[in-house]
Amino acid sequence: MKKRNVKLSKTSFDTYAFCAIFLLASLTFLFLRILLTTNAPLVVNVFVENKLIDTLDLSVNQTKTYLKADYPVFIDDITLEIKDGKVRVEKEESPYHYCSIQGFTGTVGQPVICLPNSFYIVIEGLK
Amino acid sequence: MNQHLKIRKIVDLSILLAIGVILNIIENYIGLMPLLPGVKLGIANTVGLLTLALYGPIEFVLVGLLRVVLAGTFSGFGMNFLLSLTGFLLSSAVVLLLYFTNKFSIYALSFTSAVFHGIGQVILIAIIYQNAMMFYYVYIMIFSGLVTGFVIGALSKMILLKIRRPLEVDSDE
Repeated sequence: MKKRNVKLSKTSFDTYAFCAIFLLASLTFLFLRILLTTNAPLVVNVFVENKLIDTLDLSVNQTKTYLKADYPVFIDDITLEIKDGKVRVEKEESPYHYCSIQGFTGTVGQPVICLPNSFYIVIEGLK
Repeated sequence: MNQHLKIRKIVDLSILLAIGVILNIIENYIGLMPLLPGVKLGIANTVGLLTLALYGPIEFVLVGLLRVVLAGTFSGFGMNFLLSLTGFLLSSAVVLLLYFTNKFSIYALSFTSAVFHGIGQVILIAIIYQNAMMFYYVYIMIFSGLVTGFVIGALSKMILLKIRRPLEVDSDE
């Protein structure tokens, strides 16, 4: 059997790689924080297949359903709920239900993606 | 390579592939953190690291690619398959680069694999949705990849040390 090239003990190059990746992640995080900080009123932008289909005021508690009849790309109807300045995908149909499992989010810029439905929402400052 | 060793190698790689496919499918149903979709432990990557350590880069790519395709056969060739494939292609390219330098340990190979697997997936999602907002997930995938990759690296090391003697693997320790 061929001699293994994979070292089992940590090397100093591991530390350099770890630090470089950690630095990259930290800079990305800081850049996004600065980029997405806004004083404007917050809204939820709703997208289907890359197209903005709706903008909802995040300060108004409401529930809104988007129908499969209007958006054939959906697996089933999708319901959004806005409550106390946060939004969640209340109901959707997908294999793993990742987007509804996430629950409420109030984070600006963090998309909530329902991949199988080609649907996503993002909280942004009103432009 | 004599016939006996050749057959043994095929059997070993088949077993590794089967374990990888099963782990891949199981992991699709286990979200590590429901609040962070896409963040997984990546336990199937253990199989990739073991293949690389025991058999080398060609077998690593073949077993990894077959694992993704076979998992797709069972789970469907939908978006999950595309995400897995993109993640695998980018992460294995980076892992092989590090592997050929011969300076990095199994820990570094593991966490760079996990990190670039996540980055590959985010790039694909950003391309599909044509929206740079998707890059918001990049730092989440990098931080989680560092942690989960380190855990998988440690696990792979433990397994390698356990099976070293039966498989006659040379140790560098």
